Amino acid sequence: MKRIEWILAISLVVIGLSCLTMSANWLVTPDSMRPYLNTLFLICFWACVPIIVATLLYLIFRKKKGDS
Amino acid sequence: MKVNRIAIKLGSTITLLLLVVLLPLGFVIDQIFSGFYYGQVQEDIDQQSSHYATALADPENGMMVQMIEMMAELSQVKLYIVDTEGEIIANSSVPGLSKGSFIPEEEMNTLSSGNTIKKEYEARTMGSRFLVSGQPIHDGDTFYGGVYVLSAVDSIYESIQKVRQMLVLSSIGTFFLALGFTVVLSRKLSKPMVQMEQATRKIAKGDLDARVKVVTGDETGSLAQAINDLAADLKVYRDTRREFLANISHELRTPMTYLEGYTKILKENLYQSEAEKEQYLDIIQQESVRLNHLINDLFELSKMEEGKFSLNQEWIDLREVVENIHHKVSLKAKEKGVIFAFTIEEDVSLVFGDGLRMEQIFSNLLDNAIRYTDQGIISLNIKSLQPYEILIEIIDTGNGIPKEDLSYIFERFYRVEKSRSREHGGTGLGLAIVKQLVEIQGGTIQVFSELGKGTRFEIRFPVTSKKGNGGEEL
Repeated sequence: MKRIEWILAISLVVIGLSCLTMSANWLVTPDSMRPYLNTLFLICFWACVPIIVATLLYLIFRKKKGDS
Repeated sequence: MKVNRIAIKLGSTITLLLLVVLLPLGFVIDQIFSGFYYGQVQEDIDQQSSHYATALADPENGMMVQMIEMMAELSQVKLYIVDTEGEIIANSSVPGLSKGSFIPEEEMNTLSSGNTIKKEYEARTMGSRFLVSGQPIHDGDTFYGGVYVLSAVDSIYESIQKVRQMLVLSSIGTFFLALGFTVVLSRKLSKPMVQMEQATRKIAKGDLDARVKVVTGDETGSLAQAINDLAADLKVYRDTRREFLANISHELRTPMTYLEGYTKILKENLYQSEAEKEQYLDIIQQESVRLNHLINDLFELSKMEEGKFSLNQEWIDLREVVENIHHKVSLKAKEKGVIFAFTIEEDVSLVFGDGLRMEQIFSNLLDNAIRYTDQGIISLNIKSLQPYEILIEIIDTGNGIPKEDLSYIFERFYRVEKSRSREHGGTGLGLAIVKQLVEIQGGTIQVFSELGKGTRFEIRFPVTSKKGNGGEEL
């Protein structure tokens, strides 16, 4: 991938995460960045859950295949 | 930027799929939320109207209607109360309705029969809409009228609209997040295909050393491996063709040079005696025969390789085949001063093949053996190995073949001793023809050799439908 494509992809991900964080913080009137960052962290966590699960399943599958 | 690319198609498909899922999901979430919110508001006004109806059902307190009207005004609750005739006797901030006016008769009938009323009311003068909950006021069997509590729909819409905006914002966020991952994913997934396309283009242009990097073990990896194998095969084919053309031009040029030279001598009478002339004519004849053999061998070999070679296959007895060539081979062996011996086991089955071609296989191999054996013995052994396999061995005590040459000796024009090829004679195509003839008749050929000790050729023919010497089918 070219550098410009990486920049484009990362920008899209950042924009997406920002939109999600803002909509999740709608009813909260933050007096600091803390709630905002907390929500952002939780959104990233939920986005990573499928990736972590898939990686674990893949590693288990590879280990079983290696054993057999 | 080129649009017709696999990465763009893949990315567009994933994005489209995402939208196909995201838009109906957004609509369903909106419906669920709106329904839930409306339900909650309706439940609230139902409860309120029920409480008011219970309070108004006390006939002893004549001031209750005025008290409730006042309390509702203070707490900004919109309600109106009707008596047994359907006349509005109390109104707390409900626009479009005035005291003394009557509600529709069917509503009165519903209330008097003890049922609740749920409806939407629009105040035409103000353009406001309300959710309405009407409860009958009764004490036992006595009906006193009804109480209506209203909630403004506009405020509900306002709240739902805000939630809807946040849903749209989160959907846009999800879309961008997925789009970012899609850009990376589509590039990564399409990368092997793009690499294979580039490699095959290079191969098509003649760069047969181009290879694709095989990373995965799935179908993509298998395809990459297949492309690499194809390139390797093409390289071998190209090299072989080049070598073949170089060899054929060399092999044809040599006898042609002899023919040209000696015919020139004869034409210009450059010989000394009749004996010398005869000698030159002999050379011309030998070279013509050699050239003829070479052309015939080439013709046969090319037909075999193209699969256009027809065989006259039948059940043949290898003993007869050997007997047919025995005299000729023995004579040659005797001239060279070597011994030729053959052994055939009694229980050797018939072989399904072409008798003449089988003779050609034996002749070529035995001629080779005699050619490269100066002393010792040349033997031909035929035996049954398994019930359905026949082994033919041709063993000589000749010069032997160096180990590094063994894998090439069945190639066209390959010679172990290139400098002495004319001395030994032959076209250089004998073993290539033998290999082809054995293989098109369903057999296999192998060679084992030790330098200075001799060479052993092993031919195996399967006997798929075996017949005994007496012709009896088993």
